[in-house]
Amino acid sequence: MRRGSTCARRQRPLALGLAALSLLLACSDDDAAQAQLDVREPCVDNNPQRNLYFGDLHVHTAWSFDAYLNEVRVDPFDAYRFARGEEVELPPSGTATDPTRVRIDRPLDFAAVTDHAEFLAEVNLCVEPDSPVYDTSFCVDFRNSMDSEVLVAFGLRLNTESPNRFEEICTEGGEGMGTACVERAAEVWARMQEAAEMAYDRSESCEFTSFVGYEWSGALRLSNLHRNVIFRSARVPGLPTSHFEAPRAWELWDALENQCIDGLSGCDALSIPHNSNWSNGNLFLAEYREDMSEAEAAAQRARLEPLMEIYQHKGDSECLNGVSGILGSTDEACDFEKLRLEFEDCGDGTGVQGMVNRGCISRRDYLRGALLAGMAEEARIGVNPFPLGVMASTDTHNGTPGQVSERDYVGHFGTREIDPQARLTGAIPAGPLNSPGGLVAVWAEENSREAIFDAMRRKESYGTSGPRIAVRFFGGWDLPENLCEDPRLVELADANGVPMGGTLGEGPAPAAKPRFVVDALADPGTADRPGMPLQRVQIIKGWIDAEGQAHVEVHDVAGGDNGARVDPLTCEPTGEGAQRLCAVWEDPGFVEDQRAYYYVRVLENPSCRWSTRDCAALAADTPADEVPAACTNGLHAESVQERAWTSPIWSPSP
Amino acid sequence: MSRGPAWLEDPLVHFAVLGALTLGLWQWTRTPDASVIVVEASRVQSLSEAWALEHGRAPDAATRREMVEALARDEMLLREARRLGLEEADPIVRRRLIQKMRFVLEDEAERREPETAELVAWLESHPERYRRPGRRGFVQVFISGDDPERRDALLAQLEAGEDPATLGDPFVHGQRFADSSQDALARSFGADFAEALAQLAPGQWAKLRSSWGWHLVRVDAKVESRPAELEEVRGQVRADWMEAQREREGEAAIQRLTQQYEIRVEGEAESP
Repeated sequence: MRRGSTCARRQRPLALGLAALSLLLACSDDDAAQAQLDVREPCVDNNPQRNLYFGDLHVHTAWSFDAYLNEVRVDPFDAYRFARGEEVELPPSGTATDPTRVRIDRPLDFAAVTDHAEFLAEVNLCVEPDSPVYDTSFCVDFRNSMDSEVLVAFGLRLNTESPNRFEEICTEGGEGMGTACVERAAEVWARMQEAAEMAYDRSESCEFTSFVGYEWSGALRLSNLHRNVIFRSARVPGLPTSHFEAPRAWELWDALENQCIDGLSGCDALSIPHNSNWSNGNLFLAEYREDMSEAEAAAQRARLEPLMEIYQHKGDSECLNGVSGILGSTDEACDFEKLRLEFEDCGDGTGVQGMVNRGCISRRDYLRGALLAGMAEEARIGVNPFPLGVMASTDTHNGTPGQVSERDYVGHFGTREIDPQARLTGAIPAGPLNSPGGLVAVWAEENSREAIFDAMRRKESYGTSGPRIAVRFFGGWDLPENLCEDPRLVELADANGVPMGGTLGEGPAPAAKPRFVVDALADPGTADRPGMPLQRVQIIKGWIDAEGQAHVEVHDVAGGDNGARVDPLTCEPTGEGAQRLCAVWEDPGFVEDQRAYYYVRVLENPSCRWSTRDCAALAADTPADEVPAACTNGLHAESVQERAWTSPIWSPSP
Repeated sequence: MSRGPAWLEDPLVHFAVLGALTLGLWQWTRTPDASVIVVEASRVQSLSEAWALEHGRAPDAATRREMVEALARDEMLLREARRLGLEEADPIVRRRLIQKMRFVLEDEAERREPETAELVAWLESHPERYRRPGRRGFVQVFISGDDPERRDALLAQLEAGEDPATLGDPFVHGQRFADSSQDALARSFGADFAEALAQLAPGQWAKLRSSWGWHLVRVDAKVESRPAELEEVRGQVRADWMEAQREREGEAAIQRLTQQYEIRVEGEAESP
């Protein structure tokens, strides 16, 4: 590893299991008992009505094979420093030889480094000069690789039902297959924990929370099934569970239950799937393991996976116009950051090769359809496997959590996108269709691991496409009608309803209709860059009718089409917007005994997309024939309406 | 970067690799004879797998041959380019080599854990970076939008002692704030608001502007910003110290290299 001598390097664990943890304890000045209890000072700003915190829970660093291969050298320690406002160095841009220096516009409240669990050891073995396989041609190739071939070779290991590690480097000294890599993975994992520990503010100030985490990167037949695993405390298993140990998602859930939730006192974990838009209908497919009942299998999934990542660098997973099986009007705001411009519809089936932009797209690849599929399962087997709350993150492969501004976008993938020409012509996976990614927001009592984790488990969380829009959303049978004028809004809504992520339960009377309140504040921005005003607040309702037909309706509940525009040449916005939008809304179409979900989307006025800014900059000093096609072919949106998506509220239950 | 084991140069090995489709190393092998291009079996295998994945069937012999020919053409062109020294003039190749060399120097530099005394010295030399932010506990009444008359009327009510809990508009972040840090307030309310709030004397109602409207604010608790103790920020200080060490050691390695070079500017006297 780049950060030289460490406890992890001085002592190599012979036994697995708790080895990594004991290493970490050996490194720490604290005594073992203290770390095992994961103690911390109480936070001074604890608020029973919950504070709002913004974070990024999907972050790759140089310890991920695909980041290293694109010449990223930012490590987990650096990534946390970046999240707290310090500068990091990325590869040079264009013909420059100096590094590209980047800094976040405002620090985050929390973050998790989630390097790919697969190949943690392999990367480390190939880049550490004292490694026994450092001089093998495999490792020389790895370090020198500048084309896609090594990337592809690694990627291909992750899409089969019986994956194997690279024999060339994982079998050390004639020992059994994979031993060297498993052993080394435990050491790297201990270092990842150490990076998180260093960044966590355990003082009463509670300035910053880190989470120990990793990404499980299974992708059967190149349909994306990736999950980020986030741990509640410093008590974690001795090894991350990768696709090699757990080829199928339920094997990951088993491992998390056996090795953490049920098997290690003080350990708790969530698994957050992402990029269902890349999964050809496979990620939110109601297909179950055969060693337990369907209801038990669905319940396990719902327990482990309360959230989905709705947006990140590789596009939006909220909704898609034109997909079959859901009745409702065209929703123009769905035309937002789509990874593919044309597609074939999976119908009720599934496809393959989504990760190389192939195969069909399913309605279940988007939140609206996944929630409906979950409700249909609830009707069929009594358990909803997809009672999904919402979050967003970046999936940065630059080790730069929260670097979400359209103005500061330097790509998400090291050298491959570091300069405008590269990102506007790139194809991993979609160059000009990639985007800066978003943030996760939580309403939590305080900025601590426990409070934020618990907020995510109860789904009092939402995602934004970057801006720090503040939004509360409550539903209930007895919410006062004048909540938007009552300063006790949160207190009264807590007392008479449930926040985002909650369930309404049965109505008090047959004719009762559920009422919702949503209150949103525009992003205040920074001193140099004021935030954009809000355009509208929408409540999206999805339900299944008595005939089993799925429907979605979008209601503007505050604001509306205000004619706001942005000039694509100057990026100057025109038109008015709102700083605050608040609405109380009762569902006029509510039908008793009909399952429904309701979530909120808050839209800003339009602003310039990153590609518009890049193209404008290139136009100034690039010969016309070298301007990337993406700047002139009209296939890419010039502006974006940045937004927030809340977790749903279900009626009567998920 | 070309530290290959000696046996890679062995023609017998090349023969074996050429002769059979066995598992092997997965790279171009440089041969003593520049006119021979050896394509390793494992390389063909991995290309075939990738092709099969994309097309749903294994490539036939003709397709495999095409792939090998395409690889060989690339290798041939690369060798010819090198022979002509084209990489010398290419700014992108040049840039990448310089960058790689920086990485090599940084990777090879010595790293160690800091002593506590070094962390204390670092903290003392960067006090602003680790300063504990000031904190304010306050209660507020929010007035959405810009309505000075309503604002002043509410201010009068508050000054007359009315309970703030039922006055004004809802505010998503709430009405009461326990010891909130200056930094967190700047992030959620805007820097100007947080700055103005910091200046307020406790116990009195004041009016502050934000991007969303007016806030009638009474500060109840005030903790001023102060330099940090090491134990409060040890993790951060250590991470920053390590980063500084990486930069320092990388630069030192470049300096050592510089001593092996002499810089001459044509037409000028020898540089010092």
